[in-house]
Amino acid sequence: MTDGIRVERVTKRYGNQVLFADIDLHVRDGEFLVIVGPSGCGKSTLMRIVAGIEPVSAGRVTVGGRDVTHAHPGDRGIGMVFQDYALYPHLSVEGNLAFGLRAHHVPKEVIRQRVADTGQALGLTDQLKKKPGQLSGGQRQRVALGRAMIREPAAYLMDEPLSNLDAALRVQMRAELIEFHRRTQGTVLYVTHDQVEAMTMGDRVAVLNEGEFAQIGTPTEIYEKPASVFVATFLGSPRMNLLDATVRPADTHVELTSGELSWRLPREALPADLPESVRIGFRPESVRLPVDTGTPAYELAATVSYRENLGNESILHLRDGAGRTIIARLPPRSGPRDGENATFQVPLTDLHLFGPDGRARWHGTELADDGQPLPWSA
Amino acid sequence: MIGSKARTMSAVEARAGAGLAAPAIVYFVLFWALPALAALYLSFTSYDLSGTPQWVGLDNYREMVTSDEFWSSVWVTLLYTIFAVGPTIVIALVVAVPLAKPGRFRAWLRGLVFIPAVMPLVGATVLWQVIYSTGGLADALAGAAGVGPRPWLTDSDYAIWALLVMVIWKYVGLYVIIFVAGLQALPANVFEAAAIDGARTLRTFFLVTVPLLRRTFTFVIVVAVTGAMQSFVPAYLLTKGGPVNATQVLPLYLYNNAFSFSRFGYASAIAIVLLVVLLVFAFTQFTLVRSDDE
Amino acid sequence: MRIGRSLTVVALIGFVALMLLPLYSMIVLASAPDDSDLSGLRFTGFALFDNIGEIMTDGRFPRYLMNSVLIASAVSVLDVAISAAAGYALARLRFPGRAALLNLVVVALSLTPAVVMIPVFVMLSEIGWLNSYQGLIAPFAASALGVFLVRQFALGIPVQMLHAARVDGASELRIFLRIAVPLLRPALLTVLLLQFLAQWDNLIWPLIAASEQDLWTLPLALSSFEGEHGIVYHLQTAAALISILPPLVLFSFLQRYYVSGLTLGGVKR
Repeated sequence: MTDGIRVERVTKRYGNQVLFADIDLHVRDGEFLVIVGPSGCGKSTLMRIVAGIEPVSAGRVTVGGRDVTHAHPGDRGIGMVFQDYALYPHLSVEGNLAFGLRAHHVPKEVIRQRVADTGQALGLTDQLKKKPGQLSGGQRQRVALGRAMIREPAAYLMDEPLSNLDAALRVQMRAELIEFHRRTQGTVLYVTHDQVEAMTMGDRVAVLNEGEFAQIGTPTEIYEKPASVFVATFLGSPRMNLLDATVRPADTHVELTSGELSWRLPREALPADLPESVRIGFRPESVRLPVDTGTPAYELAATVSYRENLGNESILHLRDGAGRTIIARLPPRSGPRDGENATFQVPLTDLHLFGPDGRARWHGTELADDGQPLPWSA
Repeated sequence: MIGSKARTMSAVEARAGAGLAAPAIVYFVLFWALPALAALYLSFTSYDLSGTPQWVGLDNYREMVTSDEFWSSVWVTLLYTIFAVGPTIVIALVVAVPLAKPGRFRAWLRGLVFIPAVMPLVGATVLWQVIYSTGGLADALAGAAGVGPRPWLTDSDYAIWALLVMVIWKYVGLYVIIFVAGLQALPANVFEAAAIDGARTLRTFFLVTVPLLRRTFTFVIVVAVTGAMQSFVPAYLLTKGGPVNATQVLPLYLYNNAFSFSRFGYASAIAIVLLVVLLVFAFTQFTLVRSDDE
Repeated sequence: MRIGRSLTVVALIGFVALMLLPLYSMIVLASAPDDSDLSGLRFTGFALFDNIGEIMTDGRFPRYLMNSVLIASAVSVLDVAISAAAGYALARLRFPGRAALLNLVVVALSLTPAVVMIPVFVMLSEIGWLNSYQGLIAPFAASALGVFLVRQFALGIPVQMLHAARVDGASELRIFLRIAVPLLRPALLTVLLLQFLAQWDNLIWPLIAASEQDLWTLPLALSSFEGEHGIVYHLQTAAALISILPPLVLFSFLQRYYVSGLTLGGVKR
């Protein structure tokens, strides 16, 4: 019946400044889609456009298959959860939940029933008479969710609801939101600048940068096959290592060199139009202690500048022969100490190649997908 | 989609905003904007409510600058403003510093000091009529001080000072409260630092408290001066401007010309002059504060 | 230090006593059975309730009192309603005419009432509103200070909350009445209080616009208080005492609103 949310060729201008031009987004029915991006990327504006709070300059917005491009926020069939929740502080929980129904002149009996049901569904039955100021952070979020769901919207919009919470509460609230989505099976468009929220909550993640979607995909896709240097470095912490490298084609293979490092790759595995200079990316967890010293081509000799022991893991700041800093993430209590020299390995399947324009050209995981024997295996 | 029935949020918001603001817009146009323009026009006319205003050009202003009564009125207003505002602010500040400290007793004293300021001015002035009457409280206190009774309101040497004593009494509590609010908004650590530095009370007062209260001072001076320059009730009720115009402040001069002599054109010219003086004063204060902020 | 401190307290108490002396003498005078001792320092008897009874039963005083209550109430309620709507709209809504209204408020704030008094008088005399209740009420139906005060306060209402109400499907009027007005309550009470006190004490406008005694208000009555045999000071003082009580009572209940209204913009910011 419903169709989720569609944003079609939407353009937003402020005067001469174009915030985004002709962008498209489809949140599928029942899907939890997270828009993530740095501050100022336009993600909040996009959400406000979907909500009807901000007018479009051009384009079309549909919610549940209905064109709502020029509809009032109250007529769009959406429920919204705001940053800091924006509960009505002078109304009780009951009053907060019932506000929208009263505005629509729903009969009193029905309102009472719906408030009771919603309160029960969210575990707020004992809090109905309290004011928001008397509630815990978790209860407030539940009231905000209740306010959004009580009118049975076709889609939910959530605008950085967790951004002002302390770390512990944020983890708990994240879990509750995931649970909420699982239970309601609602269509959710969620905006955040927090990559952890994006990775853990989204069925799909849309990475927005400077008014354009850099990539839209499942969290796994986005993490394992980032479409650009921006996506690769925006998601993942510590961020992906990037080294300038040159590509030297030979008969059967291609040699990638970067400082003292070099990798040999089967030629047919790589795209033919690989430019001469590329950037090699690999994530900190891809840097590992050698398991097979027989493949020197992929070895990395480096000095440990310093290491951070986080308990569950260690972050090593390495300096290679060319003076470049490389971050490695190792299991706790393993590997060299500060100032020690050591040799590391970076598996071929963990490499990403980016062109000079920043766009991804090749991902090492494609080798693994092919089922070919991995070059360093014995 | 921008038709009258557009249901976009901005269209709905614009209609609601215009609707909510409409009564105020009508009010301010009818009772402030248009009358202000009319006053400017009237000030160039001769008008006594019968017939239509007759254009007389700058005659009203010319008459004003050559009128002894006008200049006497300016002088009285100046005297009244300086000696109402100066002592009031000094007394208020001196009293506010010890009163600003926390404690139930002091909060209670603050409430008491504030009472005259809350009293309706007309009721208070009527009380002071009795105080200044023959055999009244003023005579009784003067007698106790060995001075003997005086014709407080009927002698031109005393009348303006009698007026000023009442006005200071009436308003000092107001400025005490404003200074207390200003003092309590100051960061406590500044005073702690001054105390650790061993600064004495008086030094702290002049070197720390007064400079930090600069904003409050500006506010208080603007409010007090503009208030004093527009003050009408005390002079009207206590002395009717007399004796021999000794207490005829500008607003009273304006009132007399308009509503006793029906000289609406000339009175309007006085009003315009009063307005210009007030605006120049407010603007000067405003620019001073601005330059302070930079 | 200790001596200095207690000296300060003694000086403060002395100052407060001096401030309250006229009030004490007011009570003494209002309680006096006659005008034999006007110093107001010694009780010559206690006839306060007789005096009040005489004022309230003799002549038009009750009518003046009623007029004052009626006009001050009407004006303050109107001002609150108009200022609340305009101040909220200025702070939180985008609409055509917003800049115009803001300019009007600034103009009205910077004009002295003396300037507009004469033209408003002329205008009301033209339309026959002199000597009428509407002529005493309409010129004060809103106030620049009221609009400004509400606007400053309304800037503290989070826009997100209004958006939440819009997403909830509430009309702008419902948002104003059910969300904004409750949140603006302290500012609205301040406006109500300040305007009530100002009108209760308004002498000059009734003096100009109400020559008919039926429309006189308390200030006007007090200013020309005469008994059958000229001025009777103890009765006049008792009448003044009556006029002072309602503001004092109002103030003692709403002190914090009063102070916040006075110090708005001056101390903080």
